[in-house]
Amino acid sequence: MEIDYRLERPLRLHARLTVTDLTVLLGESGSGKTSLLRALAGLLRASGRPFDGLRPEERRVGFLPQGYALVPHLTALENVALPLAGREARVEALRWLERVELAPLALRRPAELSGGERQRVALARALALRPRLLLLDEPTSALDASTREAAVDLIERVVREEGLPTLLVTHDPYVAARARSLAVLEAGTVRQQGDPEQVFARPATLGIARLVGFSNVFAGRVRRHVEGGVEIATGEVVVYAPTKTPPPPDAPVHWGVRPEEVMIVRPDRPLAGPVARNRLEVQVRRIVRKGLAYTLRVEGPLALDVTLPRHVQDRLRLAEGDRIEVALKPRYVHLFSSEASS
Amino acid sequence: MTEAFLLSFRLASLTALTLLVLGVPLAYALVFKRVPLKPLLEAVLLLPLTLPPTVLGYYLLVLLAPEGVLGRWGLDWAFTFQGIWLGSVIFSLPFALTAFREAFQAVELEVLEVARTLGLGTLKRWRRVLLPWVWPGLLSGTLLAFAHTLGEFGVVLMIGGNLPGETRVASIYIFDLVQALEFEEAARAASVFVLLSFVLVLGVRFLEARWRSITGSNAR
Amino acid sequence: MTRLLVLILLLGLAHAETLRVAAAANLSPALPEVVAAFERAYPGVQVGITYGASGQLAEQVRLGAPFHIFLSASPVYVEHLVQEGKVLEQRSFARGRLVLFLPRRLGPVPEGLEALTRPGVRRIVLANPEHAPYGVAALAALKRSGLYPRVASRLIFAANVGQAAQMALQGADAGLISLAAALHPTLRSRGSYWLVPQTLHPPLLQVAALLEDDAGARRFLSFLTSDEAAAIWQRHGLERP
Repeated sequence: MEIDYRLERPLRLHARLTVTDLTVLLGESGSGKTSLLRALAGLLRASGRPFDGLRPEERRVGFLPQGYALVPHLTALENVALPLAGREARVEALRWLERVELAPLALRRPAELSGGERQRVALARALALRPRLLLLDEPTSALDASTREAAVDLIERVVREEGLPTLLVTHDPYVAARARSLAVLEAGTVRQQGDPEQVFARPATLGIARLVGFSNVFAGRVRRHVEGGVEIATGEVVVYAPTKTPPPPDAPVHWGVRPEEVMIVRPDRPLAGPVARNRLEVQVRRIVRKGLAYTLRVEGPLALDVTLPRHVQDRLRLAEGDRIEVALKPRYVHLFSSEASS
Repeated sequence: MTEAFLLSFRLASLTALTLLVLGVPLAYALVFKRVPLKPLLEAVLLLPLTLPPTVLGYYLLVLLAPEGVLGRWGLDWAFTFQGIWLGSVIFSLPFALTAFREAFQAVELEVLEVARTLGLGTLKRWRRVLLPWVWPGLLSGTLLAFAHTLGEFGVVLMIGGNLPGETRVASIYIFDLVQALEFEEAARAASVFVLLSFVLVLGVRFLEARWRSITGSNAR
Repeated sequence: MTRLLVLILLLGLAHAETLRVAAAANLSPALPEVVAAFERAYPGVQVGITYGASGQLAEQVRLGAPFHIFLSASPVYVEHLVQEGKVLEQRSFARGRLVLFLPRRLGPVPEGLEALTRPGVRRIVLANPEHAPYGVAALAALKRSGLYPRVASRLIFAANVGQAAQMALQGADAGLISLAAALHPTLRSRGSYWLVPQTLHPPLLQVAALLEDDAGARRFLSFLTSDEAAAIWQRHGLERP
């Protein structure tokens, strides 16, 4: 589904994006994500395609807000049956509850359900409408880590099975990584849309880089053109970045590398060839555990965040103060386009 | 005594019913719709709360007298049952309105909005979502207005003139008895009153508890 | 179900032919008896009485209150209404008397207004002189006897003389009330009174005013001055006019 929407209130927005089965819209808080969803649902005044001019009752757009908006005095079954009519309504509602694996709790009221269960009821309810478009507003923000994964699994599966264009709004990079297509909302427009891998590894702007956890971003100047790319001078460091559209020499640029993609050079496995470029001697300043991975802060000619999976740290047993060598593999070095910093 | 109590009951019932019919749409509009000068409107509607009943009664009496502003337009209701009905409605409006407003405010607007996206038209939304949510609060407000009118004295006395069979409600009847030194009869009538009010307050409390259980513990 | 209830309520109580009488508060012990006698003599007419201070009732009549008869404890208020053209006919039917009432706990039978200076008399109640003839009379008596300056700070005002009698028993220490109230069994058993000489105050002439041209009302008006009524007035401390 192609979306082209313009909003004036509560903020100015012109969003153009394509919605396939699981499309995630990423953006900072206040960027207008919720407003866009509400506009698509018909609850906020906007102009654009599709559904323009239609009242919310006519649009057949399933909307799942952050609070789930279940009717508190109705049971789960009755909630799901709301969009349904006819004598078979309850039976059909039960089927949808089975789809989200909640049938045994059909007669409970929302107050008797956990957050994750309530969300599944709301999802079943939205699906019962047989909508043309499904909108989900921050479905994982109120959930703990394990429920979050289960929730995203369920959503992804159901949406795929139904072939339902779904737009999911979030500021959680974990959810963004699970998308079929990832779009980023920045400064009132959709700045980038594509494969999550693409967006994560090659964000179009510095703002987007921040959003996707791309934290090692540096400013520099193009030193010279070389085969396949450019050499960039940042402080005392010269870094090789491959590119097909090299900016002119001496142009100011931004470049970066993801923390996950900074390689630690093992003393017993020396590197050679192109990988041997972009090597830096650094010292470990801080080690922070993040779940099952570690984030290292290293300092040297450049300060970098490095993400280490647990098995690597177990092997290397790094500690604060250690001196190590890191390499920035050219294919993981990202050169931001010239409009990136605007 | 029966006549006076029946009159009180009739006045309280009519007032409560009138307030239900007038107050519910008004409260709904105040909570869910954008109304121009809302703070001003709300202040005017809540004014009777702060006015002494005798002041309110007096001004209404003057308006409803044959030469008064309302009287001239055919509403010469001074010293009539309709007059005290009007006075009671105005006097109890703030109580009923506040209770109705609270009931509507407990409704999450988002739920109503999502109900729209699910294809429910206005009537269906009211019937299946809104009314079951608010009815205990609405009923509680109505009962409150009923109880409040039962106990009214100043406004009714001023506008109604204490006419037996027409405007001599139970509260005034008791006052008369005391003035006529009929203390025993007065005490009897007063205890009937206390019993009645007690039953009503119990009813209101029960409804509040019911409402709280429906909307979950997030209310209040 | 609710609809049915509403209908019943709106139909209301059956309205009999009622004669509406506005009566000065001091008549409250005596008037019910007179009305009972009248209703026996003329079945088919029901009388509804509203008591109040004469001045307040006159004001209500002025504002259009639907009374047929106004019984005032002073000619003054009837005069006001005559000037507004509201009175069709009037006649005096009795004369009220002002008394000083003292509850038993404050000593023996008072023998003059000086009893108000007895220790323990902290609050003296009288009807409001603004609109009650008994209040006007009480104030006049206090002033003409020279006692006013000594008691002025201890005066409290009741809405009408009926309420003054009630407050004389509950809340106040002494009261200037009507003889009719002092003779009421409740007060009789709890205190004693002294008759204030009529030279000390304007006459408390009870005047009846006819406000509507109604046959029943006219009959009631003449009944007020009948022998049967006179006997009842006398028994309750209301003398011949």
